[in-house]
Amino acid sequence: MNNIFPFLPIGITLVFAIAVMLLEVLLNGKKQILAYVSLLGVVFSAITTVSLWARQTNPFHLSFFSEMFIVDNYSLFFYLIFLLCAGVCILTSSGYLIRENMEHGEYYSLVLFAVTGMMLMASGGDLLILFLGLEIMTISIYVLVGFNRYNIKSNEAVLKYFFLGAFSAGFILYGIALIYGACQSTTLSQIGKVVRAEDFAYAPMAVMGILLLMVGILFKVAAVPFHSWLPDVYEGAPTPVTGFMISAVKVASFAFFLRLFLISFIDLKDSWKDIISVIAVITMFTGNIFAFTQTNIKRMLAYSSISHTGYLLIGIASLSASPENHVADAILYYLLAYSVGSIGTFACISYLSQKDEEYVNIDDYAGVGFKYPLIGIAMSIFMFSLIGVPPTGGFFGKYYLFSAAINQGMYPLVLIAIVNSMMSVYYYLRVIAVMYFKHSDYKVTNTSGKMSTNLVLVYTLVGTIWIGMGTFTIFSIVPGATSVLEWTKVSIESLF
Amino acid sequence: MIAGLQSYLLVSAILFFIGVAGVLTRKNIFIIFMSIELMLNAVNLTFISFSRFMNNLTGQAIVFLIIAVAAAEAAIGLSIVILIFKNKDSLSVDDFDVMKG
Repeated sequence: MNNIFPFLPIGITLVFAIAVMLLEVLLNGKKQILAYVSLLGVVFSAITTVSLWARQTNPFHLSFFSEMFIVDNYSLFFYLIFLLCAGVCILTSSGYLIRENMEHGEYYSLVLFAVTGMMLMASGGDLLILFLGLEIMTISIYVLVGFNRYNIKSNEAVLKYFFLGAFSAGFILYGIALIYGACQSTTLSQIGKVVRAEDFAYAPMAVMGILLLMVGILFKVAAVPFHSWLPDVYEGAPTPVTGFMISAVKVASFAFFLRLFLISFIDLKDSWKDIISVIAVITMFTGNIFAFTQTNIKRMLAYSSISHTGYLLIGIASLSASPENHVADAILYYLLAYSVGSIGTFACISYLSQKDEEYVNIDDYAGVGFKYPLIGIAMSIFMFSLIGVPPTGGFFGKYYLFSAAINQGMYPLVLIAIVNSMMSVYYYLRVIAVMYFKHSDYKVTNTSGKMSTNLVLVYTLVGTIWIGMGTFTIFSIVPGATSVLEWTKVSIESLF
Repeated sequence: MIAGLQSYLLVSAILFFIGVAGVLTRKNIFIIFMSIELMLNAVNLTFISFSRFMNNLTGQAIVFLIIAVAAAEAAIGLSIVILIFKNKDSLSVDDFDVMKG
């Protein structure tokens, strides 16, 4: 219990974040080193996370500071997703930052600070800690979004993101205040107990708090009608940052969402289930319909990420208190597959784009498939994963999520989701079609990030396919390679 | 007459929704920013009054942290405003419409 080991993943990230910021002053000019230092921090943190998982008898659940900080399989699972996304973001950034002429050390430091905040969001056992984690993350991301200071699009993106982010933080806080008033506590498990009690007198106030909190979180995950900021922010932000936001930030918001609703509010499910279902439906349709008309690939993926939020909300709407029906593990699995696929796509985009964020229209990708074979193959497989074509991770994510929802009796929702998945085929396949069936003589001008991009692509490609294939028992004969599905199961069991 | 918990909650709810209305209707960036601060302070008032009437100190501790977070947000927000003013010479949100669709 009195062991420092459970704090190491978050501690190492924090120490490296501060160290990178200080090193920036000491090293004049050699900014490339900072990328390696921060990458080292990410790797160390990931090693401690994995060994923490391996040392315990799973599932395990450790709580500290009167249940404010919880380290369990659930939080470790999310730590790994965040660290993976941060590693990919750092690797793709170094070439990008040189090209855009904005190589500053605080970039890497802010990425690591954002990861620290996300880790707090995944392992907070108290509404206060969850909120602080959220703020640490978003404040770092604000700066990263506006990092391209002289670009008017980047400015506009940070303006919109900041005001809507702060606005939604107000709603989250007001929700927390009302829940605190109704339950006299901000600890998640304590709230769960109070809400479960037969003689709970303040249910209307608690429900109002939940709804306000939900508005705030739905802002963060960009569900319709709170999605209007997302396409502009994703378009205006520097491309590696967009990749980081589309994967890690969204996953962190869902980590917050899932723990909160699974531990605290599951007994008041009747009050929020229908609202989430309706929002899921309009989110899926809005995301998919608007994605059709986009010409900018970043904007197209932004709308597609809105529709992925819609699929995930189906999972949230069909949550239930017992871990036996596997809805929550399906959400975790989906998040993993989705984040690996989308961050890989953005690694391709940031390598192909040119100075001042040009060359990000879908038509610009004509002929890329034959000229840059690795990028062509990688992009195609990521697109297939986002559509949900077997044997990629995206297919099994959708399969598990939808079948778990069907077991909960959510037939209409799943039917709508399947129709939407079919609609999404068109705009994802258009990218592949343009890459392979059109011709042009475009050439990537900068090659500074070539090595790291190739590394990232191989890494995420293997990930996408392995997440899909790893669910089969054939592959678990490799020593130590339990299937991903087993991990998600253990993670959810550790919550209860 | 001593004001009860309900009156405090009512005042803070009114303040909060004045803030929401300000964010939604105003065009000047500074006014929007002030409205957001008003929302956060309304939340602080809610926490303090719950804490006082329930004899539970958690609420007051949370308020300190909210003030710190609000200060951090103000630091970022004002620097964003300065950055934007330097590049665009305007503080009206209507002028920021480069990206559409």
